[in-house]
Amino acid sequence: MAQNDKKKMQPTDEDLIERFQHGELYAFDLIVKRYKNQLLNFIFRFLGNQEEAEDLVQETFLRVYKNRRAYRKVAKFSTWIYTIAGNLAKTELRKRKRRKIFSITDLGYEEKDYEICDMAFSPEDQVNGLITEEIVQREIEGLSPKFREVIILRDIQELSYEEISKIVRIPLGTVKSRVNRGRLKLQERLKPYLPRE
Amino acid sequence: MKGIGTYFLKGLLMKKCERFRQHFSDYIDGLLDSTIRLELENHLENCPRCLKVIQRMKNVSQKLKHLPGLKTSPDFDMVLRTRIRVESGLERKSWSENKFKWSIQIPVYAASIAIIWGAFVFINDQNIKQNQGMPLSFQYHTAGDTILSNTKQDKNVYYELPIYPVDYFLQRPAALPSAKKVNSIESDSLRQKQLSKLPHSKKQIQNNRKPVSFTF
Repeated sequence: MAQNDKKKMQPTDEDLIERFQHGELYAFDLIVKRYKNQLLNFIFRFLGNQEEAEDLVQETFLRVYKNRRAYRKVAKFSTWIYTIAGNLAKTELRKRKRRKIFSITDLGYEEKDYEICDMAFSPEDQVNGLITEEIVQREIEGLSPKFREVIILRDIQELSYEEISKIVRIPLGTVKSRVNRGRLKLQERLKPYLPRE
Repeated sequence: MKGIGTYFLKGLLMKKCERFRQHFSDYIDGLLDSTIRLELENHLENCPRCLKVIQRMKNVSQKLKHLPGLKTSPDFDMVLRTRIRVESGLERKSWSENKFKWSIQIPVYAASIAIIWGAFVFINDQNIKQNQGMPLSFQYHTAGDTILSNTKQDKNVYYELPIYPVDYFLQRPAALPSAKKVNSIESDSLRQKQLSKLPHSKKQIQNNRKPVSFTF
């Protein structure tokens, strides 16, 4: 009961950004506190590098700070901030591709999923049906960005399809179809590590 | 014959599988319409392959939901504050630099526009004055006359014209449209009288040459 009251007392994200727009810097600190870990997980699952992800989270907050006047209350604040973070992550992926950090991108990374040679694979793990976080992360990164983004937003960030549709700026039907295809691809990739029925 | 039948049935089942595949995600999320859900469940009873796929999808989704969450480094807030301070400072600096730049640029642009405008007005004025020298627009007066305009007293400037204005119009009747309209005998005779008074030979013109004045 007391916890419920406490929740009710908490200002919404939209209240906080409004207060921040009126010059209350403490409201911005609260926004950072609320979103920093969520965004870090989102970007990390997208890029697979914690240091880069943290840098992009900082960049996201910096943009929120600088463009606070651009936010209008018609949209949810979470949608707005996730859109900024998602765009930054996608830009970073494109930069990586240009720099050709990973020669594997030459295989046609935009449209197709690529196979990475599994160095850590052991038949023992397969038998035991062990599926580690590293394996999952690697297989998520193996998905093409358009499937990766919706899978992270839906299954890791647990956002609604409507929210994802607004963040990614694609129709609801397309989001559902992408999530379905992404899940099908991922289960196929993780098949060797899943317990045998 | 039996082999073909089995192949045909398998093909049908595969088609059915493909049709249901697009609903797997909605089924897992519990968002599937009841009619399609019942159809899919009936299909799953007869298709262990699709059942396995759905079970794996559920497993993967569960695994993703329970992935350990990362936390930002302890100095995250401090670094962010520093970056904001630096970037805000740069923003202010760039604004003040721009302000300084504009404070110089605006008078320069204004002066350039004024010079161009002045030159245009001067050239235009010269052209007008030159045009005023043309016979159609000039006025002539006897020497010593003073023309008074509404605003100021214009100076009389004396020019020796090579030809009298009246001669000019007589030689070029098209230049004086009103001349064409005079048809009556009276007007004709009046004109004849006026013409007879005017000098006709070059010598007469030179003898009758009078100074005329221009107004500017």
